[in-house]
Amino acid sequence: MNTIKNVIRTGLYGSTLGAAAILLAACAADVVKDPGVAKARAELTDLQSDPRLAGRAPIAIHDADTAVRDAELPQTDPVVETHLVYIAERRVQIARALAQTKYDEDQRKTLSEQNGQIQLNARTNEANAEKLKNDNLQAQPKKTDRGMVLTLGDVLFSTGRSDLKPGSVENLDRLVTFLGQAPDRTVRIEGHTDNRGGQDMNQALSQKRADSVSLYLTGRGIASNRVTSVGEGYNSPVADNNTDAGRQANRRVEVIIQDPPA
Amino acid sequence: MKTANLSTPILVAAGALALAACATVPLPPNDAFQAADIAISNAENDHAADYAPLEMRTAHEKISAARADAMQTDEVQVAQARPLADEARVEADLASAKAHLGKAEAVNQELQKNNSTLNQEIQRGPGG
Repeated sequence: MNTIKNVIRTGLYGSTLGAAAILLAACAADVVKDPGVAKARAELTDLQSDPRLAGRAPIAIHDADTAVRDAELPQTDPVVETHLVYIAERRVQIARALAQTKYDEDQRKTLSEQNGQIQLNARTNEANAEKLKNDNLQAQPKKTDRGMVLTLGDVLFSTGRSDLKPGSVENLDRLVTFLGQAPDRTVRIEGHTDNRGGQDMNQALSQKRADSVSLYLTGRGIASNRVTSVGEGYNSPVADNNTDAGRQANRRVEVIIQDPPA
Repeated sequence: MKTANLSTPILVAAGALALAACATVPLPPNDAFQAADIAISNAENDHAADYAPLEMRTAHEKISAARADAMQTDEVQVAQARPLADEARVEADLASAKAHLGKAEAVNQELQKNNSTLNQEIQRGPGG
């Protein structure tokens, strides 16, 4: 456009100047810049004003800025201008990609922290669920014709073992407190099992478990003559031994709080 | 026209300068070739072809064209070697940058996936 105008205008100066004039016209600064320059500048400004990215690739952004400045300079040769725009556009893209990469890498810390928080929440939830389960299992004494019966579920012991599980003694501590306040009461402790395994094994296991509870009570200061322990084996089920839930209910220790002799 | 008469010598001088500038025969731009070769080799080490295949192809094409131009006898073609090599280099740099970004995004997506899987497991509750 301008080139053509220049050619026409310079033609007026005569044929001797023709060769130089045409050359000049070809090299004359184009007033209209390649639109790619403005586009590259706009994309760079966009990147520089993005608070997440602007500070994350300082060298690449500086290089991009230099490349865009070079492209913005008035050029005598459109081929050179096209080349400089080509470089500038890509330098801006490189700067954006590197800044975004750094941003992603920085995000990983947040993501790991979130992961830690999720795991922490999970543990808290589990602990709450466990506490709820324990609260549900907290034994309530029932009045029967044998006296008050406190049924302790199978949470006291691990499978096949007769030593008390740590942290399972909350109900027993309540019993100790009660017996301390009512010195005229005596207790009979009965161990019960499900019907898996032989009679002798279950008999022995239930006796040992009743003994463990008895030992715990006397260890906490209850006089041994107030405590008797009996192994009942699987002879007195309270639920169906053919189901998991039934067997779990049958594995229990019953504490019968006997009324004082009248 | 007086102004035309005055500007004539200036025009001649400027034209001569422009001619002189264009007449310089450039040496083969070995520094630009080397820089482009290094950039392409770095990009290949980054497996950039997996993330930016077009950029990688363009970089290879441009460095080949640059070397071919440098061997020509025509001055204009020889002069194109350097800008072509520079374009090959920036293209390879862009391919590398895209490869780095692609890898970073893949890692983050994996982390996000883990977090949401964990969240789902928790929401199903214990014993689930």
